[in-house]
Amino acid sequence: MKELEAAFTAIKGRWMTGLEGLSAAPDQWQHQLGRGTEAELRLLALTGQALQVAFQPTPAEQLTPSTALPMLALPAMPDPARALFRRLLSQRHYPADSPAPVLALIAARGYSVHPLDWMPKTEDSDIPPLYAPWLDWLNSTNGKHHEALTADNWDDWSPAARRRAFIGLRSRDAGAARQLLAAAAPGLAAEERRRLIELLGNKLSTDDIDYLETLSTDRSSKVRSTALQLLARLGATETDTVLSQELADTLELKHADLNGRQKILTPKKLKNKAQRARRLELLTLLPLHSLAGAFEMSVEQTIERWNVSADSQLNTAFAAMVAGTGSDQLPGLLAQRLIKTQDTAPIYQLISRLTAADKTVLLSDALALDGDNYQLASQLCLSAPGKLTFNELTRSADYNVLIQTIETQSCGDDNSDAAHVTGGCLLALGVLLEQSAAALFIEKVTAAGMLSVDPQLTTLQMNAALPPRS
Amino acid sequence: MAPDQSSLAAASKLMKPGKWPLRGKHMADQLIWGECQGSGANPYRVMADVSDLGYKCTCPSRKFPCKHSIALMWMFAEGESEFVEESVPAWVTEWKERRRTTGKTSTKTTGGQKNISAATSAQPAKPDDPKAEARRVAAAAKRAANTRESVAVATIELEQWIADQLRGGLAGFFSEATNRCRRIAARMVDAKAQALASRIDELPARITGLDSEERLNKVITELGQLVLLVREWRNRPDDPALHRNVISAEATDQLLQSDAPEVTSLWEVLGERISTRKDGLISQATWLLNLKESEYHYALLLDFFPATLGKRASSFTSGEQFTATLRYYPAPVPQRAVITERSTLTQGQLCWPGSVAVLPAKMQINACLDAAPWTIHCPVSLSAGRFCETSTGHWWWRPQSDDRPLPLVTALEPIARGAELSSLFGVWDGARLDPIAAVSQFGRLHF
Repeated sequence: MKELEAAFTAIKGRWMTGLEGLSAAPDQWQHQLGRGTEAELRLLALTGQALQVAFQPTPAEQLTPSTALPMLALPAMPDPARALFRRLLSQRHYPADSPAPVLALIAARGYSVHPLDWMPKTEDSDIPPLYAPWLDWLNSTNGKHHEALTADNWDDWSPAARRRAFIGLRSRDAGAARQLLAAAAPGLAAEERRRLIELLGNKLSTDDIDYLETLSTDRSSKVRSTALQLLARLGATETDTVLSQELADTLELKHADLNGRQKILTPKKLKNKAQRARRLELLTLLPLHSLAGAFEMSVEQTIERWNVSADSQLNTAFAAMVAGTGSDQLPGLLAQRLIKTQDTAPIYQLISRLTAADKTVLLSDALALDGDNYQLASQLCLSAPGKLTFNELTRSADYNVLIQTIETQSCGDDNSDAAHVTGGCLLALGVLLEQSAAALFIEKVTAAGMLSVDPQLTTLQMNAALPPRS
Repeated sequence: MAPDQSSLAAASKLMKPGKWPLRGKHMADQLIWGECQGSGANPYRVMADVSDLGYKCTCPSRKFPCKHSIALMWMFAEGESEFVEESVPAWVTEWKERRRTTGKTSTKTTGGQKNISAATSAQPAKPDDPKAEARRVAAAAKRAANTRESVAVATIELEQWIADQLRGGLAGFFSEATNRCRRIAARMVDAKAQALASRIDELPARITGLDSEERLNKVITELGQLVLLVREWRNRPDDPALHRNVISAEATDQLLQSDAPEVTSLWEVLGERISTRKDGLISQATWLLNLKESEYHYALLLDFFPATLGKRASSFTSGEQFTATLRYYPAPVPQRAVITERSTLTQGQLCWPGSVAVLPAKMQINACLDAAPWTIHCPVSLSAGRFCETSTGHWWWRPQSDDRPLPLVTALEPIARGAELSSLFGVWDGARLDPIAAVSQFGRLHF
């Protein structure tokens, strides 16, 4: 065989340069092939066949397969729902790399996404932890697997896997997690260091103060800022009295009205835009306990007395202050006050710090409000999507308005603002409703005039096509 | 709404339930749709909005509306109950969505007076004229003989051209492959060897992307195959498979009237390949797998339509399964086929038959070439294996067994690296494997 291979190599070389190949052919062939052009054509046909059947391409290196993509804890969705999910992604209502609310619904029903339909692209804290094995696979380096994160195996983990393992360790043993981070942090890139330090916010306690204070000299300003925020939550930062007084001078504690017993912390009327902008800036610079201290109140009192009816922009800045520097129970306290005044925009600042219990309470309040609150509700229900019944939906204040809007649109009264609001509501309800409620709601909106092929219904249709896995 | 009387007449001939394996409606949205088995290998998908008579058909006709659209709406007007009320398929939904964003255009009546009675009434049979018939037969035979003669001369010319490429050195051929192939292909067209012309014209595209060693091997293989093909054709010019590879494929009507093999079975759509050819035609190739144990493992539905007609929607969904009767074009290893009847599968998804991937890839490829040494594309079914990516970014299929690894025609999505394949179907082109569909730990994969 090697002689034959050598002969073919020689023949090919001669044809490349325009020489006749016959003289390089094996002797026993030359007698059969004849002479001249006819012989060359016969040799060409033989060579071509031989190259196909006798010789095979070989890889230049050892072929080593990757580790297999792991199976997830939940099976893939049924095909009808898969098709609707793909359609949803193609409609781009959700960012392709994190359709978080829809993923949460799918997981709540007991399914996962098929890997050919969607794969996580980045380490995304919004996607269900169900997909962690896929993120690990995408980020895997040497394929080693360990049960627990330790100082010895730290480098064997991908950054994404390391982060998830650290979250688990911090939940189980906050002190051990802190010690592990203290040992490993100096060797990490600034951004990974910052993200892991941020995770100390879970089970934050005064035990963490010593370590966080050492970070005041970290080479990264973002790390220093994160550490400072965590210290502020513990009330362990020094107060900048000058800035605190400057902020306090723009606010006042006064009675809401003549009969009010309690004073409220309300913004003073300022002279110009620059002063108002400075007030907002100070709210981002200072920790909550500095503001509380300036008025000689506790942080809880500060939240209880903050005038949530005065200015939505101020509410948003104040909510950001509480989210950044308030201790764990404070964001929920403020969110409940805000939702009762129907100023829901600032609540989005607090969502990342709200507990599951906070979200459950807020969800029913959100649905009881006038206005476009289904989108807020869909953010609040990420931990428990697909639970809203049809009765609860019809009792919500927005329901009749929504149906009327759809009827108006189907009559051809083009109102692009209304269409945008409707679209947002339908997307959110697609995640909120339980399966039978989604199917019933589709009937109602199509009876109101909406076409069943309207892309705004895709989330609801996917919901209705996805039965809870028994 | 028909553009002319002939369209109306053509539409009336399509109004047979047997030609429409699928007819559906969703009256809440005023939508109707159907799949029509026309003259092409792939069925045409037809859809209409009965509220404003908007319509769409995937056929290549340049008449608007085409006979399929007219037939669909005509059947609906005469027998709405024959349409099944069901949820709107994705391909109709996508059309409806595009109408919403681009603005509806309703159908206007054009084309002068049309007469339904004239379209549906049977034409009176012409009296037999034996002399005219004999003249027709003789003329056809003469044309066929002339074609054979001109093609025979062209094949001699082709062999001379091949010999010239060897004499001039294949290094020179590589640098001018497109022009040289185009010129000799034009000569084949002049001689009415259309299939040969297309094959030669596409040769440069088939060697693109190969490294230098592979390219040399591929060119030698293809030029050698052309020698074998034309010589075999000269020996047996009446063989239908050789005629199809040198001159042209027989018309669908001709195929259906012949005694070509017919197979009724359960089929799965493995995948589709659409490519634009140098002659301005788009080739639409759909591979089917026979889900029952049979000597007819695969079927290839092949259609061509002008690129000027724009993007054409797929006729099937990959993974779709159905019962169908296929008529195969006669060949040593029958592969190309047309669907004559089809119905939707009512049972759950069936598995691939176990017997298909028993033979090693090399034996399957060799068997294909033994039967027809000029075959460019050999379908292969492969057993368990993995896709691997080398450090240079090349992708291979690596078998679990001792079977040969095969280089792939293109890189795949990164997720393919993680797939554990229990079966893989692909098409081997002499140098690389084009994976079409596989069974993995995640079920079917389609590439």
